[in-house]
Amino acid sequence: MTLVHCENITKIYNNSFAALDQVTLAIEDGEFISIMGPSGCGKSTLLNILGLLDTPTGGRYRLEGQNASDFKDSRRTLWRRKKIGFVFQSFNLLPRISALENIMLPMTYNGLLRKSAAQKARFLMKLVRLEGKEANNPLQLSGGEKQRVGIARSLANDPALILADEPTGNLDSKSGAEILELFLDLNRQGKTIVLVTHDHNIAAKTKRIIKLKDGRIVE
Amino acid sequence: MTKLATVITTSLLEIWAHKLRSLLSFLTMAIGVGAILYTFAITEGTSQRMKKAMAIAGQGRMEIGPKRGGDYKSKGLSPGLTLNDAKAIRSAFPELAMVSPEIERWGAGFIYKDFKDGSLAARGITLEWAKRDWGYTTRGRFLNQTDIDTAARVCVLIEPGRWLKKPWWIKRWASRKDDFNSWIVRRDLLGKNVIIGNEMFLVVGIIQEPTREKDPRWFRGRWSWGDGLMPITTLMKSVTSRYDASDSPDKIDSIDIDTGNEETVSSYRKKIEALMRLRHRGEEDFEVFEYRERYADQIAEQKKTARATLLMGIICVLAGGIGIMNVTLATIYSRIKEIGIRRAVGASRSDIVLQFVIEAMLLGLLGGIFGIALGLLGINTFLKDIRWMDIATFHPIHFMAALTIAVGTGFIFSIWPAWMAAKLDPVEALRYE
Ligand SMILES: Nc1ncnc2c1ncn2[C@@H]1O[C@H](COP(=O)(O)OP(=O)(O)OP(=O)(O)O)[C@@H](O)[C@H]1O
Ligand SMILES: [Mg+2]
Repeated sequence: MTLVHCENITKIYNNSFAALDQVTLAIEDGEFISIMGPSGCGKSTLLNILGLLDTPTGGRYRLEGQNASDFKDSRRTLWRRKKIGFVFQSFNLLPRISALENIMLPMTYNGLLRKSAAQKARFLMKLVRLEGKEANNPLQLSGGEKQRVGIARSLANDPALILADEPTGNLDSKSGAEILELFLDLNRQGKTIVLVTHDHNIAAKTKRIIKLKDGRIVE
Repeated sequence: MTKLATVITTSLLEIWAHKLRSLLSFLTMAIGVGAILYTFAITEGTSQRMKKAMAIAGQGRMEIGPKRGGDYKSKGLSPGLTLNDAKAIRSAFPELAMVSPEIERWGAGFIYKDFKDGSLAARGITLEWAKRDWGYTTRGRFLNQTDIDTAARVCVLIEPGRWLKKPWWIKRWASRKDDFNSWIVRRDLLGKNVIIGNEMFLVVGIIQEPTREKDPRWFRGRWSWGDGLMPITTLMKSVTSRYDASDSPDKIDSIDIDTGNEETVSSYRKKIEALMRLRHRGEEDFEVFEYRERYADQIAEQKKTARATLLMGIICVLAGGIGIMNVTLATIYSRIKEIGIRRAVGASRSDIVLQFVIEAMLLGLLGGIFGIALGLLGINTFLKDIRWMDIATFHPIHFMAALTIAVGTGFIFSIWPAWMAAKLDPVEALRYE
């Protein structure tokens, strides 16, 4: 099944600069794709559009067959909450609440009861091999551990699509390798993952590599 | 529900993380809420007190006294207010419920054995006095007509009512332990000779006032340091009488009249004034005031103060609201990244609005709670002089209203900044450092 279908997606800033230029791309269910390209080529922009965080200025974006480029903010939010999981380079955890509560956050927005949310968050922490760190707040976690919390959070509402923007960019090679293992595991279990990276070794392990340059797909 | 609980927890964490900022923002609010609560309590207390006093004193009460202000110079035609005025009114209007003339002699002084008190008031009265507002229990007997006719040297002492349960705010009011009122409740002077104003009187009766709780006169602002009642005729002849030699020998201080009901006060007032003018040969050297008017004046006075306080309170609450708005804006600016994160993981615009509005409302609530504490403190401090009975009455509704105002202000002043926060572009918010 085709999960994502982009037709001539364009993102123009300030009426002149095209961060994305006629990008056409299809992503099948269960794929593991890496996006590569020089800095400023539009990788994050593409990811944000795929994740319904940003809107294209041109072209059509279909998610699960629906024309998502027409969605209003409330619908985009709902779909983002239920179908998308974001993982960020700088983790983007809320510093004042515990690891467990960070993972619970998307579930509470989804209306889950606190008790079941906590239960599921504990399960996810086990999945990313972080048992025992539930009560730590992000400041009390290492970089690798923070990113595992980030991944666990992205899985909170069982999304159809995981979008990771340079998830290993802030990590040493050892923790980076561990994080990649996690993603590979998740993909083996059927999750569709799109991962932005500058690291060829990481990209080599994914099923498909897309190269961007100046807002265009070059291969 | 879960969402709300989470939002509140987050808000409390956020408020706690910025203690000083939060404190400053709700302090103004607290002052305003305090002032508003204070106003509510005073207004309610005053009106209750007046209502009670009116109900008990009777709606038909008026009092005739000498022209007030002291600058009235008699043209020499009028004899002044006399006992005969009272008699004339009584015989002209026999249907009146009460026509009670009185001579008051404040600070006449009281001596019994080794007890001395300088502040006792001697009151010269007639039998009509007993028709006034309150039923008392008497030991011995009350004055009788023979006492009046013969100007007997007898007196009736008043034993003040006690509290069944003393309110806390009375305990805090410094009262003299050794004054007449506290002294007499521990003695039985019936049948004893006492000295009032340097003259000997036989105590023929003791009037016991009802307990304070049951005595609404007490709420009217009537207060004394001790009263001795004696025949008006006795006090008139007494050497302790304070009047000038030029005064009429039967000069009195006041005539207390009760027409029986409110409707007749105005018409009787006109008739009595006409009669008095006639008797005073056209001199307007007396003054009639209706209890109604006095209460109305007092209420108006209180209301004026209350309005000023309320205005101040409202201004403070508005200032507090602006303070909260300021804090909300500051919070939003310092949490733009957080807003981006929340939006990325699925928070809707209304979730963001809710977050900041709830936070502001909690600040308002804290301000409100602080304000109630301030209001109570204010009432306790400024109204300690309960001699004039500016009693504040609390009603649960006042607290609710004060809190509602505080929380509502938090809501109103945060909704705009919160909406601004919700409209932020999530991508830009996420990129914000
Ligand atoms: N709000 C904006 N206004 C104007 N230009 C923008 C805006 N956001 C991004 N751009 C531009 O769009 C281009 C693509 O940005 P993007 O963040 O997608 O790059 P990237 O490929 O993710 O780079 P990096 O590898 O450094 O993260 C850049 O040239 C950037 O300057
Ligand atoms: Mg990028």
